[in-house]
Amino acid sequence: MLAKYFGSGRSGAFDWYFQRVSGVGLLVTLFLHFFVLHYATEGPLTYAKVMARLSSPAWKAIDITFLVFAIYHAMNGFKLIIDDYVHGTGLRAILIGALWVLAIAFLGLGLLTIVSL
Amino acid sequence: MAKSVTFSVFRYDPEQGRKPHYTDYQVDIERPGMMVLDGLNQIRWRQDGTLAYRRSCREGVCGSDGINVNGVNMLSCITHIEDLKDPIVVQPLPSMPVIKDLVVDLTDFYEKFYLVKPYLITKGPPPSDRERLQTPEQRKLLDGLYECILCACCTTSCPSYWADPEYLGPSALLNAWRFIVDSRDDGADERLEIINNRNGAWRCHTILNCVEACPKLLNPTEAIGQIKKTIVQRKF
Amino acid sequence: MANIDVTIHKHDVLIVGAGGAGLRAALEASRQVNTAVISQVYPTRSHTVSAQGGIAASLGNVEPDNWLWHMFDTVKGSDYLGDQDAIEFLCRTAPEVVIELEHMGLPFSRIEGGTIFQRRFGGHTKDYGKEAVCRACAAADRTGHTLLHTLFEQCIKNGVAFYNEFFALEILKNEDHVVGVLAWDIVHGGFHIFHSKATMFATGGYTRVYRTTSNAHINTGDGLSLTLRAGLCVEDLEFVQFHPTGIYGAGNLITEGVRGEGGYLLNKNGDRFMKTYAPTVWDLASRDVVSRAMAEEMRHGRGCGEKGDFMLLKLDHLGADLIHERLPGIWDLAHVFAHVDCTKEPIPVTPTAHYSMGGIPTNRFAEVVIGSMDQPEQPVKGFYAAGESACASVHGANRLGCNSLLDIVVFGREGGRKMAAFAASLGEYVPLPDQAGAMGTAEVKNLLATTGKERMDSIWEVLRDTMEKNCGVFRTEETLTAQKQIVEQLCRRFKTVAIDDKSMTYNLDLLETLELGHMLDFSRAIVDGALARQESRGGHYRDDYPKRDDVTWHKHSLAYQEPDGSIRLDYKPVRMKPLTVPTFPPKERVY
Repeated sequence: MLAKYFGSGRSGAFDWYFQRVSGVGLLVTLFLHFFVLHYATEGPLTYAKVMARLSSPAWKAIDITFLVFAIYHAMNGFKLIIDDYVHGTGLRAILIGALWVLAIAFLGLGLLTIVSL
Repeated sequence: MAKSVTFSVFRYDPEQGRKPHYTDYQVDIERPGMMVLDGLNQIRWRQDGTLAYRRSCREGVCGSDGINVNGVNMLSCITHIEDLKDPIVVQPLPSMPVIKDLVVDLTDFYEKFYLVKPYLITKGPPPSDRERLQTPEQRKLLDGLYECILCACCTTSCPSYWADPEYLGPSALLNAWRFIVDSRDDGADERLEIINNRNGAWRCHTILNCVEACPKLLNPTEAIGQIKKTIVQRKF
Repeated sequence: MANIDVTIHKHDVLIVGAGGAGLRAALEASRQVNTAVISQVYPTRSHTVSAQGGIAASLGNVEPDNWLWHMFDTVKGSDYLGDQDAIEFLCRTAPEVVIELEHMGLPFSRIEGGTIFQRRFGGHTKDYGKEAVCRACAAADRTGHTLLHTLFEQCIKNGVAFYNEFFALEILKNEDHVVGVLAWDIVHGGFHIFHSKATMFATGGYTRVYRTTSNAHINTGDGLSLTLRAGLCVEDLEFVQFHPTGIYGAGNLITEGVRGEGGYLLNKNGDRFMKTYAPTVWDLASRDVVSRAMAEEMRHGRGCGEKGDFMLLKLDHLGADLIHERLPGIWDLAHVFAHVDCTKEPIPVTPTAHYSMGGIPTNRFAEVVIGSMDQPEQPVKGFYAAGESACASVHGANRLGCNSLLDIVVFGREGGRKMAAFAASLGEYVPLPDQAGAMGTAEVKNLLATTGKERMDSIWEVLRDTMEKNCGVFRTEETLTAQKQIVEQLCRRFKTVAIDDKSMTYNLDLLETLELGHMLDFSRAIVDGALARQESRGGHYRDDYPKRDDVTWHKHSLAYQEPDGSIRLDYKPVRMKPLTVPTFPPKERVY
């Protein structure tokens, strides 16, 4: 029976869908990042101008979106590789557990950094 | 046209205790249009009767003779020798347990096929005195799906299947879709439930090996893509 | 000699062969009693899968039709040798079984309005031969594939038990009661006795004895040989159908459906020569008529190519769209095997050995029978047959296209029902005989042990070439007598045959050699039957007796195998009385 991973209750449908959503999202934020950083600032770049942008609520929102997309996309990607090649339940638990720890750590660290700017 | 070619054939006899090895045979090109199967037959009948392989219809419709030639899965009976690079390396279908020489154990492949309930599921009784109606447009949806001959060329060419044989594989998923889109079938929910699974449709990473391998020119990746779309549309 | 295991299995009903007939019987029987199917190959590899054109039934979806016209066409097509009670049953039941198949999920092609698509086909006419009628229900040109797969899917759904890659070696009989079969496990080696209350043979045809054939490697008439060796008889073996349009050089079939869609045959001069041989229906005449017409044309130097040994089948005028929609399979075949794009050029074709009208004699209930000119037919207890390996006889001396897919489903179903009823009514199993399977086990053990100088292929090469030359589309006393000697000689050579492969695992060498032994058995019956029958009828054409002789020869040939391997011929009358309608009396057969 196709029951090996039934227990988790997660079929992978949302993961597949959101991987694509976050992929597009990353593309958009990447473009934004590139454009804004290189073309949207008038005159020479100064500490004050960059800080002004980084601490603005609009840019914080963009940064947080980018953070969530990037962490989701990367961690889900790693998880897919683990799904493909690691079949033992014990090792899977350890590796995916590690991924979750990393994901939460990066998310926490990133949020703190952005919010406190 | 060359007078003869070299077939480098994978040999393995479980009763001999030897490890799998390759044996070279010279195959004479007796007429234009000779197929790989003709070459294998020539080897067996004139040089080495111990060679084992599956074959039946010899015209590419029964699906018995899936093998791997020069690294690509194909049916031996419809592959022209003249299209292949010499020496021709003949191996059994990848990732399946080898019974002997080019004969592999396809039990897992068949099990996956049976899992998706590959038969018409209907809720109500059929009309008592005539066929169920189906418009030509509805029937057209089955083209590219019903022609599957269960040769296993696609599933055994799929890296996701090699990595984890728990994956249903392109053939089983294509056959599931054949019934899901059949306007006479009422079992779409049941089947989607089965394949909406980490080892079902979501294991496909769109590698496209299956499309290259299919001797009937079917497109399992597209069928799987449609399955994914259908599941997501129903959820969200 | 190494000891080989013998395992015994018990099933109420045993079916040997998993083609259309075997699977339909299994579906039916398994609903009521414990049923098992043994098959030489995985079921979907059976040769039913290659059937292209369609399955005949008088549904009347495209134009009005009537089962009586279908019955008349079939009787006439059989050159009046068909048993009319079985034919009536076949044609009357046809609409029901086809609709049943559709209910099972068979993806028929459709017409506007949603009903099953039907096309014209050779020999099928309206109003007792007036003109061609659309009677062949089709799924593009892959009807056989869809039929076999649909039946197999239903078997999966109903949990039918399969023993795949098992090869039947011997029929087991306890006195006059058939109690099962001895079989060889192809994958692991080892003998298996299947003990049953009712056994059906659905083992397919035998035209692999010919060089140019549309048949698969597995169509070696094994069931017929086993029947002969069990002391029973086979019927009408001399009637072999040569299908007019096999791909030149390869033998693969191009369906009659091409001509049904409007394609036609041309000779060297670009003439539609069929108008001379069949003035009413031209290229849609019955297959034996068309094959002989082509052979005649070639004899008179009007064949195409350097050697003048093929004709051209033209269909590009039908348009690429129609070809790709309705005939995609044959486009592929012509492309792969003849290097021809048939939307632009004609396909080179030649008559190819295609179907075996003869087989194990049955009545219209699929029960195997024994009878003769003065002995009425009696069923053999516990033994049934259906499909191409049986001879009901609905095809007589020649089969109409699309009647075979129908035959297998109708008699498969009927046989399944009868076997289930018989098995249920039989209280205890009839015990196995002493020394059950001794002959079969000795045969295999002998091949696995002996050394010798003859190899299977060198004998088979000669058999196929000479059968084609001497016992093919045209036969004479001279060629047949010569062929008789040749087959005798090959049988002698076969006594010293040896195999290279002595292993137990997937021993294809052993299998093919056993099959050759079977082919030699019944080739004698084909030649003897053809030699004795001094007339021409349907697929059996004698240059020296070109007319049909209803006075002396309106009877079925039977062949028995003597202990020394030679054939003893007998005959039995044709069952002329249908079930409910008047007899169609023999008439001159023109198209």
